[in-house]
Amino acid sequence: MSCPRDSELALYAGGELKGRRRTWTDGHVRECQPCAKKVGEFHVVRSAVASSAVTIPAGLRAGIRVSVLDRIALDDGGPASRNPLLAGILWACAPLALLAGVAAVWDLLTSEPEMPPLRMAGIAAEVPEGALLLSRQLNTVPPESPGRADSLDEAFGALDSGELIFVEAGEGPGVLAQLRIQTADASIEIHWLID
Amino acid sequence: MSTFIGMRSEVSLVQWMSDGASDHPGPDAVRGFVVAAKAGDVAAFGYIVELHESRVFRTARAILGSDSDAEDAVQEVFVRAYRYLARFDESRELAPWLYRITANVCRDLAKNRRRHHGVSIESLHLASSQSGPFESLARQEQRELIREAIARLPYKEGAAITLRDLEGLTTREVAKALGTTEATVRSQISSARAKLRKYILRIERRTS
Ligand SMILES: [Zn+2]
Repeated sequence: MSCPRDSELALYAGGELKGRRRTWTDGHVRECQPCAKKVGEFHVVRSAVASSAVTIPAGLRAGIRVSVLDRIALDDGGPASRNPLLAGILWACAPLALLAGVAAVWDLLTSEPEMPPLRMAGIAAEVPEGALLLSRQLNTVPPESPGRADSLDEAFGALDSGELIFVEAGEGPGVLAQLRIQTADASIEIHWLID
Repeated sequence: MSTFIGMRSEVSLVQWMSDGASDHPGPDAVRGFVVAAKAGDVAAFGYIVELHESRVFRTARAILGSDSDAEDAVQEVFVRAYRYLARFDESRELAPWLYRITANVCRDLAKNRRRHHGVSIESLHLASSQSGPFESLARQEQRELIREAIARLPYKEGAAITLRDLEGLTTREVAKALGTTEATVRSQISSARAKLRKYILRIERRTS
């Protein structure tokens, strides 16, 4: 009985052989030491591939999203083009994720011409263990308390486990609030947009 | 103080908060993001990006072999996804559709990249420290070697093995992502595994 080809054994090791081919190869590999060795080597290949994954560098995450949203804003072909207000919010969102453009965001929003009256809304999140607050930001504040923006923008602070973080937002069209928390194994982002 | 009236992303918010440290909302929440994004909700699309950028990056990084190429790919994938979102049927899962876009984007980028740095897996240079039984190498070194090798496979083989053995898709899902048949995918992953096996054996033979 001749040995299966390497290409067959490669598939056998990955579970892609079905039916009679699989049954036959099963039997052969049990009896044939060289083929069993090759199957073992293909298993090594598969696990090496599986463990070669590169996780996205934390610093890239925010940058990628900003670039994507920037490019979308410039793209007339997408769903965003239907809503000019959203394009404005989008431009506000980009510097937020960069954690550096608070002043620019503020300028953008205060220059928004037709902002309807705002009501209050908010969000609270419990801090997971070992979490780091990446940012807590709003892109608008109620016009009746203009000093509020300063207290609503924080970045890169250590947090106590179980601490409740509050972000209050003026509620109305164009409000985007964002809360980003980093733990050892997860990045949590809470942000919401009000119609 | 916390009255969540009139928020677009209410479903996702509730999901997020009840999940604690999890960054994976359920399929219904994702569907909600897609519907909202189709209606022009950019924040909802931002969620979609956030939820899927890791796997898109991971896939593109494996196929293309560099962080910067992968970063370019991720951007392009989501820009294309947004552009074509209106055609996407939200009753279906989003991930297979994104894998398909990722494969297309990587194919386009790989064409350019390989034109400039075309070294095949067979002629890949091995440093002298990279010798001895593969499994005895430091884990980090193993990973680096395999990453380099996958990126040097012909595009289709690299994409097929990445989706199958790294992302864990079924051969049917891989075939859909690559716009081909299952039989072709089997042939591609078989060829890729054979090349990687020879490559590993080559590393091991350097001592003998
Ligand atoms: Zn045999």
